[in-house]
Amino acid sequence: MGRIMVNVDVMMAKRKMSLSELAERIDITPANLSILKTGKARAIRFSTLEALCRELRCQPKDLLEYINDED
Amino acid sequence: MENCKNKKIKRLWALYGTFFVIVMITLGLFLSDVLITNDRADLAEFRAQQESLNLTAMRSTDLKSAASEYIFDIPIENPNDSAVMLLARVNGYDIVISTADDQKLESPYQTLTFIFQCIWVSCLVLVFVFVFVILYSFYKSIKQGTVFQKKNIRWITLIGVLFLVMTLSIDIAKYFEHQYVLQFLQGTSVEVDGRFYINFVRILSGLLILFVAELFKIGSDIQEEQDLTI
Repeated sequence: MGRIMVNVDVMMAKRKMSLSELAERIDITPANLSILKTGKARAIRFSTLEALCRELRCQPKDLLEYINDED
Repeated sequence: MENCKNKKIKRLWALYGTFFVIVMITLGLFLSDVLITNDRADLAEFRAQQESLNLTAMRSTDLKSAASEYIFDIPIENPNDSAVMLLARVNGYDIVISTADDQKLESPYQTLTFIFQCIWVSCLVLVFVFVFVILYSFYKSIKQGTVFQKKNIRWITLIGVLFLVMTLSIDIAKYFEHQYVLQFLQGTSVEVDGRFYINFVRILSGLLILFVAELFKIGSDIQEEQDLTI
């Protein structure tokens, strides 16, 4: 059984950006960004992913990672 | 969006009002029935007769006669139009059981009937209370913008289960009541049908309520999915 890990916190640390600042830039609430960061989100919209990539100056592959639990 | 929410709240208030009016009418009819029955002169004579019988038990049953001779047509005089013939058909009895010795009337069926009657009356009261509660809960949920809440699902499920328990309790109480009367009618010329009957319409209503609860569960899952889509 695998899962998708969201590495937003890693990219935020690299860009030295706080959660509230990023939330404001991509126009979502800090609570929703926190859900995304902690991996509780069920899905992510393309528009959110696009905004994250734009503000964090990265590619989707830098934010999302597939983890296979069986490995 | 706000306009849509206001419309929903208005519809809910209309539903709330209708339910309240139904409860009041039912209560009014019940009370007026009690008061009118007490005032009726012919019933006063009937009551006096019962008192003279040293009445200790009375069962108002809708027992169906098994023997066809007990289901007969009684002609009713029709002064307005003689061409139209009216007939009344007997399909139930009010059986009065009277004895000087109270012990002869004691039976486990009486206790069982009482227990199930208590259960169904309790369930009925709870259903009415919960319907009031759930309509208010819906009103609050619509204002908050989330109807498919876990607590709403719990209330609906509870109403459905109570409705089913109530239906079964009514039928079981009726069955035991019939059995109680039947034990006195054994060996008499009266043959009655004391079989167990289930009110399928009420059972279906209970199942429909549970079905609505299931729909709400699906709605809740969809809403959760939506909330967790960032």
